[in-house]
Amino acid sequence: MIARCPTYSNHTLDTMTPARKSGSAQDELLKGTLDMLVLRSLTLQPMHGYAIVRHIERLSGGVFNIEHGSLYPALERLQKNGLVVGKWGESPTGRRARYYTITAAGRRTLGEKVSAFDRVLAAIDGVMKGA
Amino acid sequence: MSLLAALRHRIRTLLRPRAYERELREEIDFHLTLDTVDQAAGLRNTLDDARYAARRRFGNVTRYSEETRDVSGLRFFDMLRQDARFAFRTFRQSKGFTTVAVTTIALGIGATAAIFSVVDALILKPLPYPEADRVVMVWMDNRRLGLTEDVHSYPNLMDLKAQNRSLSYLNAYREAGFNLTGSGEPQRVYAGVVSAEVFSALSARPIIGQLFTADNEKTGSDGVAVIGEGLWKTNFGGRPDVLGKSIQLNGRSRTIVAVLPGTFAFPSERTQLWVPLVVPDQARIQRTWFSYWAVGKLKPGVSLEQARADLGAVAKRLAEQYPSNRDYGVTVTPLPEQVVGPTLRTTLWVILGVVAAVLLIACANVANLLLSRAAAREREVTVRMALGASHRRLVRQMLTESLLLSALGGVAGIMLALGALRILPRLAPADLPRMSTIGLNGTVLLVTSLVTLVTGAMFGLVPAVRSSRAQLSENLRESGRGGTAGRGGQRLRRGIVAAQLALVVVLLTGAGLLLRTWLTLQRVELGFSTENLLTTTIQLPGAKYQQSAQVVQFYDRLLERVRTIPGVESAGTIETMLLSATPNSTNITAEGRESRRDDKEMTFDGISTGFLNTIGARIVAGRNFTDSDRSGTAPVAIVNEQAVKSYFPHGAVGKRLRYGSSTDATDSTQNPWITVVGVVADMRRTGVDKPVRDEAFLPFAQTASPGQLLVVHTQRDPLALVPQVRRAVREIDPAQPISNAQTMEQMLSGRVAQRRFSMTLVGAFAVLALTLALIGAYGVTSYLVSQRTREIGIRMALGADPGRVARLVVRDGMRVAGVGIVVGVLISLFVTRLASGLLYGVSPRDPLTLGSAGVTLLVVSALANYLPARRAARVDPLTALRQD
Repeated sequence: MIARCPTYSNHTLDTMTPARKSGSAQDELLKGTLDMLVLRSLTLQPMHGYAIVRHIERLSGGVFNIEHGSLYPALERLQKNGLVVGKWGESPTGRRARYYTITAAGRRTLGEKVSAFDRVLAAIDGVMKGA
Repeated sequence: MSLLAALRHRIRTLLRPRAYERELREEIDFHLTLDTVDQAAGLRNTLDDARYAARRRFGNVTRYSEETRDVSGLRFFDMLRQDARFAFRTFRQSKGFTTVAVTTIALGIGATAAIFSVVDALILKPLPYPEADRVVMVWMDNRRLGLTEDVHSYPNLMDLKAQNRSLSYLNAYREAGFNLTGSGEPQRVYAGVVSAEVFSALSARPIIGQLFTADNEKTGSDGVAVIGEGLWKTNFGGRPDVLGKSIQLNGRSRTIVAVLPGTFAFPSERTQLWVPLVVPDQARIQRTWFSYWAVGKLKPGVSLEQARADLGAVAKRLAEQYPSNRDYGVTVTPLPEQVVGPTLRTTLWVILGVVAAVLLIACANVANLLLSRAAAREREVTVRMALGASHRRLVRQMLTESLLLSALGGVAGIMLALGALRILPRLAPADLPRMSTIGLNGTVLLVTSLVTLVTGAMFGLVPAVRSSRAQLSENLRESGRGGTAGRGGQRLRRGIVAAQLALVVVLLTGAGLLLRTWLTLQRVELGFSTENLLTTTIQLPGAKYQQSAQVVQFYDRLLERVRTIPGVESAGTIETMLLSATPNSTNITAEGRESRRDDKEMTFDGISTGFLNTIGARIVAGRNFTDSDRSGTAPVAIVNEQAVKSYFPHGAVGKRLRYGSSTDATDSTQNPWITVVGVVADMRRTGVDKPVRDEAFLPFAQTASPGQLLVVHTQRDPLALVPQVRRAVREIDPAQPISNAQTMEQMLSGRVAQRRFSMTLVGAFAVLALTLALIGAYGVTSYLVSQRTREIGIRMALGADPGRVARLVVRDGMRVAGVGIVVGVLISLFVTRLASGLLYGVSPRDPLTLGSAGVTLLVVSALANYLPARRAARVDPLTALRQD
């Protein structure tokens, strides 16, 4: 699904990381996108932070090259809103790691975001082909 | 679930901020380690290079950690904690200020919380019956007697029940006292004699057993009783096998069928058991047999107004149909209003208003204190602003301080309220309803917390905004070598003092009016003595004393016995309780006088020989009753002076009267004539604040009512003779209890106890308010004087003498006081009217009270201003000019 968004990829390299000063419309859009990607990744299985980043990078063919640190404010935001739950567990190497699980509300939110996103993409697609 | 997860996450974060940080560090560390390992494996780099690459891919660790903390909301609490720590440090540095401020707030909040819990228990909390707000008392509106809440006759009540369309239940009940025997000491208990429908109207649910039904409401099947939880616990140990047991009520055996919970306090708090109502055949047909109370329940969706209109229309039809119903309407009162009557409601709201005013005054004091402190800290604020602290940050810092102050005060206030609520019930009059339910509950705590919060914001916001708005340059200038204090600060502070004084005038006026009411009532001539009188109630059971001759014999022997007890001067009995109950009344015809439509009913009461002497009533004409006024001899009466004015303008002695009005359709000529043999001086027998009515007394021997109030005039302490009186009763009938043994003075003070209670409370709070406001006025004048030390020094250096300086200071202070007092008097003129229901014999705009409140305040505020003025006059010009 993420591979279906070529129009989005070219200019995301630098701007994907949410800027420190929050509040602009663009920030919100980027935050929203990252949240969506995180939620989508977690629908497969519970993951820790590093696994989530790698999953996003792998599936986007390296196009989504976000700064890893920006994941953590996003995860905090999702937890605060009850969309994911973080629980400490044991990683394969035996070290303690925090695993994130998507909640029912998380799945609902993801569904809404994806359909909204699909509508935008379809619109853009139509305009591009018509031109 | 997700909501719960979110909540759990937030709470965990806030409760354990350190753990949160540690875990975040651990998580990021884990991330970096994994990435380092991946980098090292994939790109054949050295470990250092790999670590560096991982760091670069992660971005700025500190920045992202902080951003995460920002999102979590911890940063906000960090600042709050910092502000709180700072505030506590300043509190510790200025212990005097903190103590005064916290004490002031605690007094205000404690008083408010205590009084609010009383209001909550008595007015706001619903009665313990399901849908209690739809339960209504239905009364007869007796316009003939001016009694809006009179009892019904059974046929009238049944017509109301059958013809109304707004009530789902309506039925009759009475309250009765029984002698309970068979379980230990003979005991006097109060019972509800109720139709089973009354249980339905109140949705009564027994703890155990089955309530009796309408089938029990006839002679033969009415030998049942429902007992209350209280009686069940005390007399039967709370055992479930009480069902089926028998109790003796007035010598008659009844089977216990159910137990009702202690919360079921109907008809009154003292009710301990319920028996079925059996209406005698005579009462079923006689429309003038008034002895039934009625309770009903509004149908769903029917409003109180609709029910009033509906029942009013039915009553009007009945009045047209039956001449005896002329002038009878219907009064519908919701049960909650019935339990806590309008006077008590007004009293409580007034007292709540008073404590709110006290709280306001306390707030104003603390605001003034904070303003003075803010002025003293202007340097500190200026420096912090110069160093770059934002206005917002400063306001928040100061608000944190004032909210913490109010929180400390609030906690102390709740402690005070807890203490007050222990003492309050002991001061309160005994007949205050629902007193046992008073306490600090959730509602009270919630309201108190809100009040505390608003309080803190109120007295904190003004100084906080003011000091942060101050301009740097101006501040530096003002705190430099200026001569006088800043103008704006002075105006604000004086305004606060004037407002406080205005409030105090209102409170003093209110307290003064209540005091005058109280004094008026103390001076009211009862028309009878209250000293050295013992009163006690005796109710002979009708089952045992069926013949009036038996009743007469009992009381004759009793009075004979009691009069021989050493220390007894005289003794007598009266049928109707003095100082509370109203005796029976009826229309009369005076011989040779045409009855008029506006004739008031005359009350009739039976008294024994010796009764009038015992209570010190004065015979003004004719004779007293003697032992020869017996049943069988000619019926005689003694009337009061009021009745003479109404019916016998040319002298009453020797004239005759009889029951029934000559204008009534019912024939009254069959009633026998009663000869007036004497006239007694008017007595306020139903209470000091009740008017005197047309009244007639009949000899006990001719009425022979089984229930009497025994009154004994003693030489010394009346209560010391209670055992002897009880023994005298037992000697005549061992199964006969006496109840409510008390002195006449106790009875009297019980009647006016509510007024004394409210007067004491309002008075105490007014004095508290006065003290607080004066401390405030004194503090502000002192502060302003200290600010003007320099100016005063200059004046004195230029030749002003100390007396002039003192006058200047006093004049300034008194101008403020004058404004406050004038405003207060104006407010009083409007506000005291709200309490007019509590006043007796004094107008709410009583000029004497208003004047003395104003003058009192003028005098004491002069004193509060004089002390700082004297200090100002002693200023040494040299020191003053050298200062700063």
